[in-house]
Amino acid sequence: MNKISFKKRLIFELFKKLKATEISLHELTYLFWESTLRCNLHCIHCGSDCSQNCDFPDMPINDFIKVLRNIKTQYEAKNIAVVITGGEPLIRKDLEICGAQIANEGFKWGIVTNGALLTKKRFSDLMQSGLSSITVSLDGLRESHNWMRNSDCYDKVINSIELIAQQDNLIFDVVTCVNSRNFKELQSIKELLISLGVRKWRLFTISPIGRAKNNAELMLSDIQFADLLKFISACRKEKKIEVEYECEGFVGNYELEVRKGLYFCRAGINVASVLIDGSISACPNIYRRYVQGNIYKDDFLSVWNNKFDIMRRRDWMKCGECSDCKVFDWCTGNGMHLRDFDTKNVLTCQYNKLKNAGNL
Amino acid sequence: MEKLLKRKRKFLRLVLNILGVGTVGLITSCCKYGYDTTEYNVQFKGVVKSKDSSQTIPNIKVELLNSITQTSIQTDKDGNFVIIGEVLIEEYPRMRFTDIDGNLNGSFEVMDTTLRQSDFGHDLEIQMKSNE
Repeated sequence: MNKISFKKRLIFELFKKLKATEISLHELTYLFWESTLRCNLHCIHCGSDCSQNCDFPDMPINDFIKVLRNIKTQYEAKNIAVVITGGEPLIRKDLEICGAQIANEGFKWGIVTNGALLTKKRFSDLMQSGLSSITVSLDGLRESHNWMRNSDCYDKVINSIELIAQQDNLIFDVVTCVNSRNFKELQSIKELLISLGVRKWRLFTISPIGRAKNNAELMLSDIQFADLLKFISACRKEKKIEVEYECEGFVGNYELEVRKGLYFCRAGINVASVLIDGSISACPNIYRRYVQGNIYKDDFLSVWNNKFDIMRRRDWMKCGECSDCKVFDWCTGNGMHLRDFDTKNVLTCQYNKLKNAGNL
Repeated sequence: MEKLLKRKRKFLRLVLNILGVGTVGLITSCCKYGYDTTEYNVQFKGVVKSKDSSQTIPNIKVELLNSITQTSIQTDKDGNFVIIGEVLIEEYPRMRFTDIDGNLNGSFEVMDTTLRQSDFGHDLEIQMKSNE
């Protein structure tokens, strides 16, 4: 792909102004709830480093409902999406009760799941409890998926995907962590998903955090990364299934070619989280030391309204690899989850990967 | 101050829309390990009839204009339709009904309609004006 076109430069400049406005407004629209750290799997790339036996007990739903009621004093519930995450949310036997209570407060809710524990009965109960969105992970064809998930769960996941795809009134997508093993399977995965009735597929690469940081096989080379974006761009033109590259980082001229939106890390700007120990942060995969408060000690809205400066003013990110970057103003330092707490450096830069691959 | 910022945001979104950036791309809050929140699924079913004769009309093209995924179907021999699509969370679904078989079954004007919350969950009855 060639250098950034004049039109895109203009779009990026205007979007920069829009981002500044969004930062000033910092309206909460997206709230993660890390409801459990327990997980039925032990995935080799896990960003949370979860396990079946975990030191933290699941957070009682009433503690989280108190937060939602606090939020409702300032925001309309219908404008905020609650994402129940983990661990594996389906491991909670009271998930349906949690979901119904969240829906009773007027919030939309959904889950992000590995899909291995979903049954027809469970799915029906979740729908009854007001489930509005679901995301399921599929990380390759049988062998690659089972390798990554460290479990023989492929068939269960495929059954879950097939079951969910038949449901009309539900936002559903499949996500795939692209790595050097499943990279060559992307076309086959695409065809499989189309045959299962899936309409949306999100692809992302693996961040060097959690368990993944010690596994080089999980990372894509710069050339593979460039080829991934070419693949996504081609799929989007083909329109057989809506394929998107996740909002991981700024990708130069590939912006608007690989996703419907422009890159914007909204962590702490529109996105907050309540973590398993009550910590208040943004996305759950951000370094825990960026935590801004705790629901058991602080008023959630007070933290949201008055803290989060480190995520809303990102000039400090102009260091290390970013210090002399020409596109810093458009990128503003990449995703918050890719920023090391101690060194402040960026862990990986998608724009530089494309440059190294000769694609910018 | 907040009102001013919201106006500025609206203006910038509009300019970016004109430059070809879709609204969904400007409001999306989809996060890694999160789900997509910008759209909602809709399903409408109903019947298309002639406003003059109340007869049902087959072969009418039914489109969900602001669906994220292209959605278009035709009414069956009894004028019935079922349409499914995805609409931005901040929009109401807009539908278009077009007579595509010329004078066969009569000739009808193109009709656009915006659906409201009250239309959700009910069978729709669409009445098309005759061209004659």
